[in-house]
Amino acid sequence: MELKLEKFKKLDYPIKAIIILFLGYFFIPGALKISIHSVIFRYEDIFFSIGILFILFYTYKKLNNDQKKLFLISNSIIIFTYFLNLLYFYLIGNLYNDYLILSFINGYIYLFSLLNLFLLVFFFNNKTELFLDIIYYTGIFLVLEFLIFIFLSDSFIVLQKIYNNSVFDFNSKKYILFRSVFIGDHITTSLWSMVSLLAGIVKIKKKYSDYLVFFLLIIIIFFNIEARLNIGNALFCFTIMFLIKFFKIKLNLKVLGSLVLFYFFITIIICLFLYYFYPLLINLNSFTDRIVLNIFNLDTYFKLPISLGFDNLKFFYIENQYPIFKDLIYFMNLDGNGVGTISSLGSDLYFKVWNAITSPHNILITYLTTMGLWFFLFLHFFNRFSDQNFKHKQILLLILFNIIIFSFWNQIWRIDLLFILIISLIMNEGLNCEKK
Amino acid sequence: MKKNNFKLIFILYVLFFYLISISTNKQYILSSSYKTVCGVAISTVDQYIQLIPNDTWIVTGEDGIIKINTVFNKKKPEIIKLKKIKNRRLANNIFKYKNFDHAQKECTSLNNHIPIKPLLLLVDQTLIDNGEKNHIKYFIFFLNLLLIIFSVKQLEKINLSKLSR
Repeated sequence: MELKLEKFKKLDYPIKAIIILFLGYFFIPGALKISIHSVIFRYEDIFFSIGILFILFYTYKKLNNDQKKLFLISNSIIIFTYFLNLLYFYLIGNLYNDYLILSFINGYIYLFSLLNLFLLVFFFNNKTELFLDIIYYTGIFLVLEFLIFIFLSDSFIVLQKIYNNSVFDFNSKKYILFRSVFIGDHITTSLWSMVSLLAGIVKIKKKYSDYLVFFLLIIIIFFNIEARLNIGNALFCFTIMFLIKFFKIKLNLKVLGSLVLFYFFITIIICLFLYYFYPLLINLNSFTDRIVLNIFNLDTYFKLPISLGFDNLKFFYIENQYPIFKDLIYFMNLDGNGVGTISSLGSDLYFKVWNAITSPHNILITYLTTMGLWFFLFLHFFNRFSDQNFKHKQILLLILFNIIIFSFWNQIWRIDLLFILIISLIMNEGLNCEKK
Repeated sequence: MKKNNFKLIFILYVLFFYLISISTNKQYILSSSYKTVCGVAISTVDQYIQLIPNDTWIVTGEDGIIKINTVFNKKKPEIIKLKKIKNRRLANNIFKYKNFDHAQKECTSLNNHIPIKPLLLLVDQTLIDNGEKNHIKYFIFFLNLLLIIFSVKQLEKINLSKLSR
């Protein structure tokens, strides 16, 4: 521990501050939020944005000319992106909407934080292993919380109140869910545990206690049995990781892309197989609902394929009065509720029922619609660095793979920060390796 | 690298342009809203998706109202007339489908207590011309392209090796 603290003290200023910010973000409970005109502002996001702003304020002078140029251009791009979207809504006469304006402000602040987190880590990171350690330590806290949840949550009133939504009723069966207080959502809790587990596995000197933590992290991953897709995803990820290790496959963006594509096809094939051959074995409603929603998302996006800003695609649903992928939507509905869901998104019915509009249930679609064509340019850029051979390449790409798989058919909150951090670490390491 | 960037932008923009042009090629929508009175509501779209013909989409609204949207690209009276018939026919089919298996619900009018049989009501019918909106979309689309080209040109001036320390 002392050694770690020594390492921490030697870190450059912005990285030290980012690690503190990351921990602060983790420890602020996800449930703390305020709602203004139905737009949810989370305290952790506000904390993180203010933190990033302060770091930028003190770091800007330290940037060299090229870094300053990249900082200014990329920030101008997101400002212009939001301006362009506001212009569109102004021109079609739909700008006078508090929910839309506040969502835009919220989204801009979030995207600003993510972009500048990416830039700061990309510019200044010199200790990737420390970031991995920090991610692993958050996993230790999750394990401690899990033990408290299992053994003490019924004994104390405070804990009963904290974990009051840990039972989930579905088809008259009761499932226990572990939603970490720090994270707030059970699927994100499982994913965070998976990422912590991977970050911990690369530790050089492991103690017995580490193996116990690994074991408990695996328990957390599989604990939320209600989320069957989550369990399937975890099994898929473990199998792929085992195969990668066994066949000594070297990862890069192309391999990662192929694996994600394989996952996509395998899930669709399994879904169709179950529907046509074993229709009573498993209820596919929720899954097909998400598939249909994602087709509808792409359909809506193709009606105006530009950078829309963070999670702003939802404002275009109401514009989509006739999907071009209608036949595909019908085909993938598979007697589920998907068509009904997206049919209600074409009017304000969905918002009136749920007091919110749903978003893409796929992290790649979220970032595609957020960045537009920049998404592909970025991938092109990322590909160059993922081909380099740097020290933590394999584990960072595996973490990225896990995040993508877990959020391929799910909308996962609170994972963007981790997602962007990992991407930035890969690019930073890749660039440093290229320079050498 | 520089050439690759612009090649990629060109290919993707042609693809995106193709998609946006497909999405906007039928600029008119005949939108007819229906609701049921004294019968089984015709919302919950999933149950009758097999009835919905080509060029037609259904949007569920409040109070059991459904909006049947039919798209077309030429604003001719005979086409509009045909589309109106198409919408009405679909609404009738849905109405029959939803009320087929159920015992006929009957309700009485409040004033004179006369029993009323299930009815399908046309609540609203509008012809939407998306021409202007489509022009706005193309305008925004090309403005975005200009931004990308300008930004990429600026980004290419950056010396990559100086970005990380």
